[in-house]
Amino acid sequence: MNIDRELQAALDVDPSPEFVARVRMRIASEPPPRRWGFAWMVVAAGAAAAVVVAVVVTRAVGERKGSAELLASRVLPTVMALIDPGSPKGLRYDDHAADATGVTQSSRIASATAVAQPSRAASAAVVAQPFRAAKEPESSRAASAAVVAQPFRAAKEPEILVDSREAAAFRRLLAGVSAGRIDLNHMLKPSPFVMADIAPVEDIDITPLSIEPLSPGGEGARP
Amino acid sequence: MHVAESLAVSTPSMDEELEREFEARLVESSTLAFRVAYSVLRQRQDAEDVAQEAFAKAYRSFRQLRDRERFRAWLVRMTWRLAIDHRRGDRRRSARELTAETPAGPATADTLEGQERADRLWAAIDALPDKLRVAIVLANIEGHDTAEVAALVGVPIGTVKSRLFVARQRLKELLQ
Repeated sequence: MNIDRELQAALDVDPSPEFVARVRMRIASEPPPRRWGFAWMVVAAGAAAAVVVAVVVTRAVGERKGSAELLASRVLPTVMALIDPGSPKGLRYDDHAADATGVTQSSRIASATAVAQPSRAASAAVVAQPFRAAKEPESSRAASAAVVAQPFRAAKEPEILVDSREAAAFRRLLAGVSAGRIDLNHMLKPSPFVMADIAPVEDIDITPLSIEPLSPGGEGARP
Repeated sequence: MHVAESLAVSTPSMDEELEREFEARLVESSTLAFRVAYSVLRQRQDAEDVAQEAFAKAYRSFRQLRDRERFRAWLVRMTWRLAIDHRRGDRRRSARELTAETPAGPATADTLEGQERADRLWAAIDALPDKLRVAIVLANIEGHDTAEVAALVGVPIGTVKSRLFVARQRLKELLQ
């Protein structure tokens, strides 16, 4: 008994002549072979792009937070003002104005500082009306101006304490300007710098020093 | 020529080349896949269905199976697995075994005796573990030598020799 021979005879079976044709028909209904190489590259590129975007967005958010803190610290030299909608002139300062919101001001009044309270600042879009009358843009910028309080930022800003005397002085200044008692137009104009105003430097006469030699036995001599 | 144009031109030709390669593999390996399936199922129609399914799967992944030896090894393993699954999942298997294929023509004493010996042989082969069964079947299909069986199964030649020896010993014991 030869097992291999019997097994070869048992396995000597051929498929039907239509078998290959049936396979071809089946293949024809199949989608084309997948292009794993190209698909792999596309997936890898997409993943890399997603990682890069995630890193960039994360960094941008971090920098935005940092800059917001920096801006909050720079609010200090600003000056605030409030508009009373009921005022005919559009600008009135009261006790609430002092602690309401910030208005940018020129560097000359940089010491006067605004206090930003989030709830009030959120509703206070402040425009200094009299200063709008300034004709020159740079003057209006120097004199003080329009400030729009940003509610979302004001909610995050820390409370800034202001000396009551500075606040009162600034209130008086703005009240005088709004009442017409104080004219700041001359401050808005650039002051001409005249070279002739400077007095010429005079020569300085310096008397030469004479040093006398020390006499022996005099001051400083040891006994 | 721009890159996009060159890609547009090269892609169809690449697909055509793949199609040609697959057609060549199909022609040369169709009998192998069929016989592997037949060795498990012993039903011509079922064996063709399983082999066809294996070719369809091979076609889907043909870009990774372009190498001839790799394709044949993959095809043998896939066909064997599909045939085993088919046999396990076929609830009508018992009925089919009762009406197993018989040679066409009038039943003579020789044919009946041959059929009986074949049935005993298949029963003995079925009693072998899978690893021994695959080795002995592949060694008796298309005149594969030990190295070819080793390549198809994916094991060292020494392992194939050992499995063939053990398989033959057990078949002898079972058929005596």
